[in-house]
Amino acid sequence: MSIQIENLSYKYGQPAGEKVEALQDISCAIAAGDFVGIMGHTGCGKTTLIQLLAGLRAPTSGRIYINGEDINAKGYDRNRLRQTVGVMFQNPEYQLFATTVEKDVAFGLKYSGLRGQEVTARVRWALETMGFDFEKVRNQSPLALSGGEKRRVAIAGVIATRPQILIFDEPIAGLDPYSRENFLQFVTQMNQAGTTIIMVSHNMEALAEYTQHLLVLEKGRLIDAGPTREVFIRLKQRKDGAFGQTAAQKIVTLLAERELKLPPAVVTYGDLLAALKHELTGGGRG
Amino acid sequence: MRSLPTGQYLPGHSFLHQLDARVKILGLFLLMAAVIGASSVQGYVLVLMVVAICIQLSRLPLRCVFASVRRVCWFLLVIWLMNALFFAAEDALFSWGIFQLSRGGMRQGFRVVSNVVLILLLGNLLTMTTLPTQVTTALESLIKPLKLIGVPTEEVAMIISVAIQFIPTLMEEAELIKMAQIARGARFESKKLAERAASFLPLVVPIFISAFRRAEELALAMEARGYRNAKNRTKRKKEPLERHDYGALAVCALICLVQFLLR
Amino acid sequence: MSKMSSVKRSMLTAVCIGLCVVLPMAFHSIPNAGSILLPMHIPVLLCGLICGWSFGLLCGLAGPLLSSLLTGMPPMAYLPSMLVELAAYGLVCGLMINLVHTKKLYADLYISLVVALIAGRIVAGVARALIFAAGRYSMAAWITSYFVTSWPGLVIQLIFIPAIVVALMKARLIPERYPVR
Repeated sequence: MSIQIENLSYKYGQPAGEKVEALQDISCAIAAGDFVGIMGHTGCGKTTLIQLLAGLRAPTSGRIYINGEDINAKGYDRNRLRQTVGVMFQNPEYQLFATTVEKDVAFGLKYSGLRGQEVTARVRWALETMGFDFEKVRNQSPLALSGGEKRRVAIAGVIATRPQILIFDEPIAGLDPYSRENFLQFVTQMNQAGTTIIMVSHNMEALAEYTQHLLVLEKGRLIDAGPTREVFIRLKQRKDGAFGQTAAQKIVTLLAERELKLPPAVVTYGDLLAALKHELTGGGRG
Repeated sequence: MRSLPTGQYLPGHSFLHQLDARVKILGLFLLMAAVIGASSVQGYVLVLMVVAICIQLSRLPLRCVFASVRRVCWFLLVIWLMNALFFAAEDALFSWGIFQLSRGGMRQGFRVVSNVVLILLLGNLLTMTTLPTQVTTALESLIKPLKLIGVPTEEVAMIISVAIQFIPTLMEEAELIKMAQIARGARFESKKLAERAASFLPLVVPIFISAFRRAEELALAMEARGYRNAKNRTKRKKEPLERHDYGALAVCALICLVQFLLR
Repeated sequence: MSKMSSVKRSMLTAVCIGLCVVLPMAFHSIPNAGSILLPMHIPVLLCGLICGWSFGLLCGLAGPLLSSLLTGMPPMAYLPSMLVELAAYGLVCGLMINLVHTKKLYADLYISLVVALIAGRIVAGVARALIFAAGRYSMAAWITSYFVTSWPGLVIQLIFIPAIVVALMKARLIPERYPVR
């Protein structure tokens, strides 16, 4: 499922009449099966962009095509869009409401065309994918679970419809390191199975390590887009340092101050290790 | 971040805009009493003139003042019909089953509708010339006398001011929850009432849970900071009423008095 | 539901008042949600049940008042009868839940709710009759129409409010009424 965004703009209406521009003239393309990160400061329009992609808001101007079809065109099937695009917003644990975990996860399947046993099987798959023991958890109240468990149930509810595009808004904020690693592994698996992933995050390491492409938003504008590594190298060169750098990039900078020059393409820990190995085995002097 | 809704307030510098909010609220009550108390033709002429003068004093565009009346005009027609058709009177023009159209009923309906319209207009004048925050501050000071009968007015004022501060946050969260559930497949278009009603549960339950979570966090933070009660809150500076405020209040009281003398 | 500090009750009341303003706005874009759901009634009834009669009464008065000031709904002319109705809901709900102890949560909730909903409608009906028609106007017609036109809202309140109370208990945001020992 490819996504094509053309000249997308969105303005929030204010009661006093003035309009606040949340997104300005954004154009980009996301290929099927890609893993795309979106970064930017708080209030730069990331969440608005996600809501537009999921068809939850209509753009002020511009178009969004999913698999070549304009999702805001008249007659476009909203139900199909909901089954195609899965969205997980910030604090997804706030969306739980049902009396049992099973019912909550099955909520989105009501319009999927699945019936009876198929629904149960799908719910089982979603919960097991998220590391739950289905029989143990199915009749519990989702509201009585721990914070981390609630979040996993919420994710299960989103993936239950098996969307071909999965969008996550700050999915790893507030997670402990173990859950974070688990989540990122899970997303990578989904991606390898063919799902297009879009992930908004403030976590530079996670973006550098896991995403293939990166979109950078600043004050509602798309200021950079491209393969993740290239974008990070460009961001590091910015004079104001507005987006910071990854830990590996910082180490490279510190080493440079101590007269050890590593190539500028070092972005992740993996890169750093490879570069250091190269340096230590004498390759660098070559 | 969303801001607090400003309601129907239209900025301006008219006499009504500059009047103290406490006076406007008390005046509204007095004039409402005058409207409800009107029973004679002279009485209605009086309140009609008073409302017209108030509208003139507000210097608001007539279109805005009457907008809310236009919105409810169908409802007003229903009220009039119900009164006209159900009024038990001897001078029925015709009757059919439980319905009977009577002159008395029509007159009664007219009276009810004009009461509603006049009170609606007076209420509009208050909310259109006064910021919501001014109204709540005024109410805060107007409920102070209730302390004498044991109402903890400081506590009440604190709760209301927290409620107002919470509104933008709650609005934002409600909006996000609505989007999350729609993205998950919530639908609201079912024709069957029961189904339609049930479709609201996924919205209402999470909205309450997130709101109550906020309340709990705030309560804990307040207790952690040693909050006991509202008494040690910084007091607002007292703003004395000016001469035109007293004048306006006296005029309203006079109108109310005349109205009851006219009965 | 009596083991909460007064600060917590105050804050819960504050968010309930806030929700009286927010819920009608949140459902504004969904057609007919307002008339089916009666969104302003829910926080008031809950506030009475959870925080007690005095807080319920405050919520029933302050909620519609604030909403009218901030959003223009309900319009000022209907505010008095709405204030009376909602104040009665909050007050009676809070009183009943204190009086009724059947050892069964749902029974307590339903008894309190039913009594409050009936009391509130009677009070509102009487208030309306007094405001709209002085004296001879047929009150029976008013009260019948009052109950008949608002029955869907009544049913929904009976379903939703216990569901929300139980959800809040499950989420440990309010204390269990009958804790398992």
